[in-house]
Amino acid sequence: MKREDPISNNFDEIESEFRDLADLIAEIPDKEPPDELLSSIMAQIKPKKAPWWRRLIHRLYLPVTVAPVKLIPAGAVLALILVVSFYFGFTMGTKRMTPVVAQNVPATAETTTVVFSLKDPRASKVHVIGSFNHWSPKGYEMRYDKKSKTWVLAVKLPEGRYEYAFLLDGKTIMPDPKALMQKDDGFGNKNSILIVERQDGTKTQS
Amino acid sequence: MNEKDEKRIISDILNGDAAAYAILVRRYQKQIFNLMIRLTSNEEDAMDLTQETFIKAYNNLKRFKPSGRFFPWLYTIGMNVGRDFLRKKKIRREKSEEIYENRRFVMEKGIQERDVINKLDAASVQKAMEALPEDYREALYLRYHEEMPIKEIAACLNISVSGAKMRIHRGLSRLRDIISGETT
Repeated sequence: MKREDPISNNFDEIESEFRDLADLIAEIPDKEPPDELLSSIMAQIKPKKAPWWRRLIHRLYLPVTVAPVKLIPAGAVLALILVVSFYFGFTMGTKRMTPVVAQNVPATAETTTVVFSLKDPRASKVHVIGSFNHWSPKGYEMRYDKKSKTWVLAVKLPEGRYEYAFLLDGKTIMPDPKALMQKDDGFGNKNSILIVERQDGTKTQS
Repeated sequence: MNEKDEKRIISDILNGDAAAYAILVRRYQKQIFNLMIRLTSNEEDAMDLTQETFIKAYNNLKRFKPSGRFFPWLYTIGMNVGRDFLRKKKIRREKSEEIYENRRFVMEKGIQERDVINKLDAASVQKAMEALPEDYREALYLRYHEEMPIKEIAACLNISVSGAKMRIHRGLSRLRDIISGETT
């Protein structure tokens, strides 16, 4: 016989009875962690490699996107770039760059090459991380252009709205100082917003 | 960043990409740091214990079950690190004194429980929360401050779903008692 649990059964009522108190708990201010906390933690960890079978288990839990085999002709790709972090004086046409194709993009998807740039921060390595690469820096290392003293990376993205940031030396995350829009990530940090539109001006998200 | 993003990051870390861990630290450092402040009432200790928690989580990441969420797992490690610290240092705070202070504070504000709650602000509730046993306090923080679903709270606190509901209910009742100046 199933045991009766009056609290579980009436939990919604209990919560509404204490609504005022719950609202005040929600308003309790948080303290900001010290700036050096992140870099201090990152300085103390070393790369690791789990056994193959454990990596396989983790891989099984990852989302899988099946890309259609059919490829779209390159000429069919018509889009407008809204490059949030565009360093002045830098144009895509004048630099040779092989764009990285964002993860899980079906082969048939129309993409736009977006150039991310960050002018001369004090870092020896910079990655772009964002919602388009699941916040994973692997494969998204920026190239340093000595002439313009700018870190650059071109990424092919389908139209859409993306959040992103720069990862400096694998330790410090900073939003794009040149981004037109920033958004609080809900955890007290700022991410930059990038909107990739089609050439006809249709926005997928705003 | 959603649950799938986190799983991918963890998979990358286990493939040798240590830099990806910065994303998880950045996301959760505030919650863990504030947990440690609640446990120790000391920002320096909180900083050390937050570091210890993240490093311990990193070193044990291979034991993380990818079917679950990362935060409850991290939080459980944080609670253990915090409790170990308190046990070793024997600096469990004297609750009775604080309870007395809170009662006195509330008595000065008014007698009627509803009036008292209406007159309270978040800072006063925070003070009253400090007088709660940490199990109740954390259940209330996770539910109403972090707005977590009951299932995840249960995972964080290593208890059943009905146990988590019970803890929240008792926590709220005790908090109201403290605020109303009644016996706890």
